Amino acid sequence: MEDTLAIRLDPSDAESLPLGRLLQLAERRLVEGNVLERASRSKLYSRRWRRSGVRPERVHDLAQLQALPYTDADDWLAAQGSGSISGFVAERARLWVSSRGKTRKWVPLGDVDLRRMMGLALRLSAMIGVGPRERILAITEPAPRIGNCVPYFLAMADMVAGGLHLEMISGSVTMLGRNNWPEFAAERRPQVLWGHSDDVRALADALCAAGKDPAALYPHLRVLLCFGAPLEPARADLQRLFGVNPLSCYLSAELPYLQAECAPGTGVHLWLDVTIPEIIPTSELCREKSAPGYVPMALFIADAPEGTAGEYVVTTFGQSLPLIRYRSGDRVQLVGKGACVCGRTHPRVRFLGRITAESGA
Amino acid sequence: MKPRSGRVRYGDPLVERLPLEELVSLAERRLVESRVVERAARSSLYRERWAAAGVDARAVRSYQDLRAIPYTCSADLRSALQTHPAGDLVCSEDVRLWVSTSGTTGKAKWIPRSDKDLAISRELGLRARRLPTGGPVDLPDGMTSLGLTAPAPFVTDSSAAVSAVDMMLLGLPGEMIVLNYTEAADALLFALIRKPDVFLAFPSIAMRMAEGISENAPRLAREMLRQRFTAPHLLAYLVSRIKTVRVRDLVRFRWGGFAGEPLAPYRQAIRAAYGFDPGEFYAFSEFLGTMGDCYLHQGLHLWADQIIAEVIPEAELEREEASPGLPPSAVPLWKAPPGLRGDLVVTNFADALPLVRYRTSDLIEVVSTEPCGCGRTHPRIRVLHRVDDFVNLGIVRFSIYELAACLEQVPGLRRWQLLIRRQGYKPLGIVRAEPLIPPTDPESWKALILEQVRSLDAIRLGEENQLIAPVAVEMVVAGEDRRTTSGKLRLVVYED
Repeated sequence: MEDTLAIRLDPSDAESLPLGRLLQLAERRLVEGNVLERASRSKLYSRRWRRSGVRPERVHDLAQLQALPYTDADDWLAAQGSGSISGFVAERARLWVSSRGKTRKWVPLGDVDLRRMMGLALRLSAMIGVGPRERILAITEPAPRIGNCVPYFLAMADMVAGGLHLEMISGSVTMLGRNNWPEFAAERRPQVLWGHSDDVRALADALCAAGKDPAALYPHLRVLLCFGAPLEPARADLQRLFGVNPLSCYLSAELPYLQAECAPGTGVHLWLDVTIPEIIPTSELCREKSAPGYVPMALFIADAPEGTAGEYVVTTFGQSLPLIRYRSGDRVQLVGKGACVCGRTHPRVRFLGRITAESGA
Repeated sequence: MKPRSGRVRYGDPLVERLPLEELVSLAERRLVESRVVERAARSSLYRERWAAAGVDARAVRSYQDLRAIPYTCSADLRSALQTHPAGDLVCSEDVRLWVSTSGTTGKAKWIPRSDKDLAISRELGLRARRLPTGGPVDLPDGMTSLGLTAPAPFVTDSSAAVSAVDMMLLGLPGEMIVLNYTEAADALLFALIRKPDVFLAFPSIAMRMAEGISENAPRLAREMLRQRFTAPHLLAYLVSRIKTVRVRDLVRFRWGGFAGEPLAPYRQAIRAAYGFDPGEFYAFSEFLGTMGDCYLHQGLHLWADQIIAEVIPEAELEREEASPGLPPSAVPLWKAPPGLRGDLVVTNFADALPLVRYRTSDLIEVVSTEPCGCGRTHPRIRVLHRVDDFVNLGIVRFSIYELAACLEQVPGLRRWQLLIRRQGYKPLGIVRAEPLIPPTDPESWKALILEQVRSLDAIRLGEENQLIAPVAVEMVVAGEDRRTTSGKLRLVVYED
């Protein structure tokens, strides 16, 4: 049994490879991993690709990838809601997770996906500076949301491959005021607090309402990691409340890859060894809006000039349902492509909010 | 059949069928080899009380030695958490996770789990997976399961991630959809369309879901038909227009397992609503892993190699009540006669916080210590209800002291007693109230009592969510209350 537990987690160390090598790695994974062939088994892609004359087997490089049509949340919801669910899954799922809200996007995760997420959780812990035997207070979301299982994936990853001996205390917003988890966690002196930014804020509000100062209650806190919404403009407020500079983590059910800011906080690193990120510049988004039917052009992040803002588009090498040119609906700005002060070479972006919300505004 | 090399291989199904005496000696050997008592003696849960009782932890080499150790109960755990830092509870080098009980009284119990503990849970999880097999239900590998969980810090919050990773690590095929019960209404439609084979839930929540599905069947069937136009969905839609639809008309589970409260009151109703023969699991936060019944439903198999179980018979409990301070004696489960009822006491071999003669406060009945028809040799019990100051209306739980504090607000109330019975499958609480003097307006007085009872969050939420029947109040006269044989008033009476 112990032998079985000692699994190798994907990804292996590729955090400091030169940008060119990372792109080669991504291209090789796309082709050698049969990602497009696998994706074409899902009705999320198969019908539209057939209509567009896409031949996955003919995609051999990143340039050819850009000839494929985009996919978006509407396609996702339409595909998961029609016909057989089995036809939605590209390869056998182990666990289903979902986004928030009544209209949920359901995401199948296979064993390879789980191992990748566990590996990325360990990468994240190193990136944000989690040390041996440190304690993590995780505000978990209710299952089946992705924010439920990701902190536990870190605990399990550390158990099978990390060796940091991390200790985890979890609580939920549902149980705030009904259970003493914030106070119990305080007694364990956590160094890391991790949760959806709304939930972190709810914890702070509940503590303040009870006359407690969050920063005083958690004096050993060194890392505050928030996912789910851009940190601005709440960053300063959270910093004041908890006494540490919060770090932003990009996490969604469709893309559960824990892309986060490094400790210096110079933007969210987009992992080029497990994703192929593109950006549709704002000018193209405007053209699309003014001319319905127009297909906007996207730039690979590696090709975009620093400062470029636009919609984040992503391709992954997922097992149960790879994302292929998935329009996330999130607006990003490319902050830097050069090596970061932390030593990592993966490009950095800042998440600016939802495109749809912005359009609506 | 002897364990190989003196050890039972991880996940080995043979251990489920070893003769009982071998299981008992295996447990006794584990008691010594794991040095569990010696490790436990370091914990704030035991340290001071054992020192006061003169316990020499290193001298415990057998079950007979273990019997000299005083009992521990949940109040001791709460007390240890209040008087010592939580870290003082821990007996191992590492803690991976902390899990908690509800703490509805504001005094949640917290339990540490190490990696070794998670491995024991994994082992017992494997056994639990095998329990329903072998009978008439076909449960092939690779099924899809739908599970309901409770939010953090309850232990089940981690089950989606931990179970998925465990299954991956063990190479077991299968797919999981896990819903927190607070999200179940939104997520259920997808879960049902995925056609899961296995359903894991709390019995009362499962039945509430079944009621909700029947109430909303026409709308639900229309939605399923809209999402997927298939012949079964069309049929379900048409049927929903003319007759009451049950869950089984919309989705066909092969099997379901239930935990969190006794299944017995719900068994027939679940069978009728879901169309499968339900299985029962027994677990509690302080303990590792899951025990359960097999397809023959002849009681819950208590894993005799993983716990040393004892029973404090009811007569001893009454004696204890009459003479507080006099420790009651316990019978080892493997020597207990069928039909014996009492408080279940467990000793386990956990790493981070072993339970040593821990009184569960669950009133159990011994079903049999003979081998079961399924081939398993582990003794079987039935869990009836609580024996402590916790009131258990299914998953709606509260402390009797909370209720007492509410009822103290009622003027003219001399004595009261809570009677718990079933209305159909739902728990029904009846407050039997004895006035000091007959009230001028009995109905208003009873309404006042009801108002106070409903000021308890647990009761109000239980009623609002229709998990329990609406609480009733009966006015009684002196002498109508139920007492122990020693004449002490029973505040809670369970009518099993």
